[in-house]
Amino acid sequence: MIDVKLKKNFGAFDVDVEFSSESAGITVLAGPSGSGKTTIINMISGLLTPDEGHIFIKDRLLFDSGKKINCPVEQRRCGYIFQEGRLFPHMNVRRNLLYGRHSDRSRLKETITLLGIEHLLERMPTKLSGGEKQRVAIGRALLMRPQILLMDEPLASLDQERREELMTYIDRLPEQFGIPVFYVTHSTHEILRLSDKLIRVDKGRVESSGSPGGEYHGLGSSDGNGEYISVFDCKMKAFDNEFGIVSAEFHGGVIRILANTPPGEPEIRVAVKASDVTISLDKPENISTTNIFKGTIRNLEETGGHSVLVHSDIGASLAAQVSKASAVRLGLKPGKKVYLLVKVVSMIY
Amino acid sequence: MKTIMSKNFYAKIKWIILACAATFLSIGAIYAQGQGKIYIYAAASTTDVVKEIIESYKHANKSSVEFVTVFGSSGDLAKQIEAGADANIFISADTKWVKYLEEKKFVEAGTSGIFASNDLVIVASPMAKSKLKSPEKLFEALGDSNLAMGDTKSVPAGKYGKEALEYHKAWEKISGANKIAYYPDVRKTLNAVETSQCDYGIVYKTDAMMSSKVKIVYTFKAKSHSPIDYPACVVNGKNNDEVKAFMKFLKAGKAKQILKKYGFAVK
Amino acid sequence: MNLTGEELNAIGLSIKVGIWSVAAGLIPAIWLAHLLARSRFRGKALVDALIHLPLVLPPVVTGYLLIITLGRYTPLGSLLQRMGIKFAFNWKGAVIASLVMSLPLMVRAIRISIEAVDRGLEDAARTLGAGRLRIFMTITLPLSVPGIISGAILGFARSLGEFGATVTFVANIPGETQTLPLALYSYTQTPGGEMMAARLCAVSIAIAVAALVVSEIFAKRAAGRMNQ
Repeated sequence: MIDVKLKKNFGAFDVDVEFSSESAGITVLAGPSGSGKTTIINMISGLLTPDEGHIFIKDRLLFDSGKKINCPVEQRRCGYIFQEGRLFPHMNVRRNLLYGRHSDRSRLKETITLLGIEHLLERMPTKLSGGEKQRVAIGRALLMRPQILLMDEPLASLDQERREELMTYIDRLPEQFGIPVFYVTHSTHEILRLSDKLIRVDKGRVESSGSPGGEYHGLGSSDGNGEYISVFDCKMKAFDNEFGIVSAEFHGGVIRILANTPPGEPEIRVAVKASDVTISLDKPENISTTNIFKGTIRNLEETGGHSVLVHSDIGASLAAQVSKASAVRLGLKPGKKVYLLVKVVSMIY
Repeated sequence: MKTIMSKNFYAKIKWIILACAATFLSIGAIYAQGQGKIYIYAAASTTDVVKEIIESYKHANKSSVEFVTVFGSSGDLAKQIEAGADANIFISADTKWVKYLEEKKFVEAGTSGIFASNDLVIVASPMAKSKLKSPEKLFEALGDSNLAMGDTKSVPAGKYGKEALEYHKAWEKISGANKIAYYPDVRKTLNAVETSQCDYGIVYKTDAMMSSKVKIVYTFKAKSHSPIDYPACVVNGKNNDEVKAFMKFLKAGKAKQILKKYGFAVK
Repeated sequence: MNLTGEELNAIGLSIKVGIWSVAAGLIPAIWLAHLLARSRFRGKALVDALIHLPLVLPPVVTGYLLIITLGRYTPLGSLLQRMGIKFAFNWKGAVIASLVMSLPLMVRAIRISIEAVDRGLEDAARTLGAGRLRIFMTITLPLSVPGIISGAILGFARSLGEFGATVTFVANIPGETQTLPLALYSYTQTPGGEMMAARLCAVSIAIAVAALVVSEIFAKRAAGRMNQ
């Protein structure tokens, strides 16, 4: 879908990245502020020209410094949703929606219904709420029939409730409209919720690139303290109404989550904080924890302080945070077979 | 304690400085007046000749008096004098403006008199094609060009020009065909002919002589227009010995020589 | 107030010349303002300076420059005359003089307005597939309308007061080039003409105030449309 190599030097700061994503869903580009994410997405859209590199979107070559190809912005067919929405203030919602070149009027009704903005058509942008503005912005980009949707922290200026609401819409976009999404953010929650593929950048360089279901180091808490989270993509198997338990299958076996209602979709993503995982050498009996997995220690990772992260293979990768003293006491080392007890599991919709 | 003192202190200092400055400036102004500067307000068409006459006067009388000259249109100057401008002597290009000031009692009795007069001429631009024999042939000579003249209402040269053309029975034809370009002063009239915007123009002889680009092709006879007289007068209350001496010099032989050199006619 | 024929001529001519110089100058002014606001090119400073020249030169000098570029015997002037475009000593010449004097004011007002248009909006339009011309016509221009209106009014007002360049270039010909300021000046140069001058002064003020009121109405409508 997207294949880029980008280099740009700003003097004090430079960007040098290379990544690709075959996902037809949502590819998330994540990183802290100042990591170069907006620079990268601007280069992909054409609003910024790289010093060197190439850009492929769905096998179309949009930029190649070597071959001196630089497709102008207006021909790139990349829909762009900006953080501030950028609706045209002198046009009502309808005119904004239909502004795109080759905008597909026949899809107008369908699009506005799916985005829930049918009742807003005659309104002026100044009279829209933040969430409504972004939905109109999304609609406007979609109606131009782009090959890809670029989103630069679209939820940043919204409050918590609106964010949740909008994430639901965004999550369904690839499926409902058949368009891949390239999404820039620094929010853990958005990453966990939306990404089908995750590319992490920092200081202008790619740090990791992979599918979720692996580990998301440093994503845990909002203070960026580096809480280690293990993320699993599971398939729901059963829902116990009486006790409010969701049973889901994943590579590591079956995991049980407490929930009031079953999730709407069978595919659910699950997150486990390393600090919520305990290690036992013996199989625990008569214990309240239900999520117990058998696994083999892969390696121990120093995190500074008096704790250590124990990475184990339970069929999938699970990390546990253990004090150094306990690690020594139990003799934890690679290859050792252990039991991992998961106390808290969060479900991400 | 210190802060309060600074605020008031600096405010007071500011006022003291301003008061001193005002005092010194007014003293200076009065002092300068008292030093005996002579202010001459003169019509623009007399600029060069008046300057030379002043030089000649200072040389002849070995005077160190400072002359301040203000040149402009006679009408503007008269109005400024009426509004209280510091003029000692008023030299006009038209007697009507001196009459204007006389009516308003701004002229010292007995000081006004004609010291020079001028001729009216037709000039041709460098690009003017036809030769002009007489004003009667002016209309044909113009072709598709306009005739440059001063405003007949407000520029003396314009008024005289109209009289002269009427005398030669050429006015109706030329003005009727809308072929006259009126300018608010003689400088602009001359400029129009110099740049060939107009092929012909009517100006004073003295103006024509100052320009190397235009050619005098006809001089109107004195009887075809009102006399173009230049009166000079002393502003009421602004007379003194020096002023009297200059006014006398203005009508004397040396000044007459200079006037003639520039093309003015003297008695 | 009973106005004489000549006074009415002067008023009519002033309004005619004012409207024509804005009408003829507005599009070049918008183009130049956009050029200066959005483009980068070599010689931009020079273009900027040239446009501002009539603002800083004495108007008579500007009139003189008009004579040496568009005068009867200049290459450009004679070419235009041969083509049948005549403006020597008629109202069209007055329009040219007014236009040249008002252009810098119009360009300045419009440029400020264009610069205030959020470039982010123009970028958004680009991502939606709009080319430069479409962006200008649908985004930049509509959002600059208040500046364009104020530029037009400034241009009209400047034209109403235009004297030096006009009288140098096309003289003071009643019915053809005698606009209000020229007529007013003539009266001040005539003894006893103060009354007439005062009347024309009152008329000039009335026209200027009317123009301001009209511009306010337009500006409010433009702003209102955005905040429906």
